[in-house]
Amino acid sequence: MKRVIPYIFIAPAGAIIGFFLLYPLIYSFAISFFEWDLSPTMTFVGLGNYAQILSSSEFWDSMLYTAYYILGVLPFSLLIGFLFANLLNDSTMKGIGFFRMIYFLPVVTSPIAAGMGFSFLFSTELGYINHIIGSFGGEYVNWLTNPDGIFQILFNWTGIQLPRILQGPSVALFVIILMGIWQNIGYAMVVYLAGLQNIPATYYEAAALSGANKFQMLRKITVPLLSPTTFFLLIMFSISSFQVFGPIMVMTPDGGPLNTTSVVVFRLYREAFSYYRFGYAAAMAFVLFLFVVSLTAFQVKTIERTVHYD
Amino acid sequence: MTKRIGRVFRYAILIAGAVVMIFPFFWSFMTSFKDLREILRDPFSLIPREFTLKNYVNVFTKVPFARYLLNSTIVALATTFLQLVTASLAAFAFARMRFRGREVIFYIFLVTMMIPQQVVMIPQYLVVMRLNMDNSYFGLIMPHAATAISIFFLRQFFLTIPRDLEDAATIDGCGPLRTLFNVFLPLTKPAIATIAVFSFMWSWNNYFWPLLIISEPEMRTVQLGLAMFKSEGGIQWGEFMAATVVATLPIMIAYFIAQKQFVKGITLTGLKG
Repeated sequence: MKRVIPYIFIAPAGAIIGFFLLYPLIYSFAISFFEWDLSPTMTFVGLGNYAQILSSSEFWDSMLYTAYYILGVLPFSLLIGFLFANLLNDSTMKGIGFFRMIYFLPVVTSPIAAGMGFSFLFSTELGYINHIIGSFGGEYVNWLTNPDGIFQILFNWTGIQLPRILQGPSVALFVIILMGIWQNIGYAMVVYLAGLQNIPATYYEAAALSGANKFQMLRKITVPLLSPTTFFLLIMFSISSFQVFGPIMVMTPDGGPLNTTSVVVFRLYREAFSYYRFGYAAAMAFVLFLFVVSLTAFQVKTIERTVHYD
Repeated sequence: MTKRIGRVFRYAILIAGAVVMIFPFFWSFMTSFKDLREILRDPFSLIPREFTLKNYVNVFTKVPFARYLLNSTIVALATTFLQLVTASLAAFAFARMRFRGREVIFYIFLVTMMIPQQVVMIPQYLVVMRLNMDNSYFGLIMPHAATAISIFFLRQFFLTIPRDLEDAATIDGCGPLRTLFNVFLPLTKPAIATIAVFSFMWSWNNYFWPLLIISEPEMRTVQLGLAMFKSEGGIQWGEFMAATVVATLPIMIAYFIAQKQFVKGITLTGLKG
């Protein structure tokens, strides 16, 4: 009897994880080799779905948009979070709790609600952002319906046409990236703040005695000692950015102007639940999974080497 | 002197940042009290000229938003409760019991943390449809009634509890279940609260899963109702903002009450994870 007890303790969690995660994982892998629209007939196509995905320009477009999103959201979330954590990390300052509360508010807000707020903020006629631009004499921008790449727009006056990849995210995707940053800053800041408070003050005192200035301290003490935190945030944000979906559904429900906000997960959802290509979508999910795993592995291999653990 | 200038500068940046962070909330909130005519004529006034509750009334009468709130509350509370039960049982076994296959099972659990939802969503959807669990609370709750992250998180806390306490409980005749409830859970209240707060927030804000399995308007959750409301409703910004406020308020209240727990939870999972 006694030997069974541990298994009974694990059973509830095991049943749910097994039934709703592990079994679907295998199932999903299996159907990725079939052509299937939920009808009784499944056609085995081998690696056909995978071949079709990798040769589809739509898929690579959606990967490009996903890459834009990640490359836009990651560095700015980390940098701004780091900056604000440093500004707040002073025990003699008043109102730390207040600022922390405010900055953290977007983190607990649902992406759907935040997306509603941002679509209003950036709406063409009634949005406050255009109001600000207008009050400086600028022209109203069609934020969520403009498919032009933001870097291309910066180059327009020169008449130079940038190569596709360098044109950058469309204006619509740019707004979604801004919202991603807005929602991540508070999280990065709180985690950084905890990291900063773990650095012994004596390090800075010693550095000050040997004549180091603020910038040197930042570069030689703060940044290296916080590198595990940075690394953790990098992994967390990459994984969550790869899966961005809610904001896109709310802000550009049809996939954006010229589909420029159709990131991988959005396209995957469409393939499965609008076009009923379940095998194809399952294969796409595994390609996505492979990308997430390799990106994480790549980050662990290359970046973790530079991370300073004590 | 330079120190004082530095401090003023620092506050200036912090306040500017706070304004940027809070402005979308503030403006949405204020817009929710304006009627459509005022929004169209003077959309940029920060304070409504005439406060109206009409938008809120419409949110609750045009669509069954009260029902959405009820649905979300039931689902979030049940998910949280079940996660606490499944996680504390499993975490106790992994932290304190010896049994065959413990390491292997634990690692299999951990691996599931890395599976993106999109990879398993199609079979999850098919399973739920086949069991006729679509458009039901059961279907919304069960797939998320246990998560590896809660188990892992709680196990880390259970590992820090001294063995002596457990031995004393055993000598007093406590079985494993009583030991878990009378010794372990009271000692790990902060961790329990953290899991509770996070699973509630996650469940309340979840959009993807309800989108897949809910088609009956009566069974929509708040997030689903909110997104549908926008796609069905034209340009009723006042109403959209009122709905957004209603959907966000419960999580804001939870956040203000359990603010310390949120922050502590993030730092703990962040640095130990």
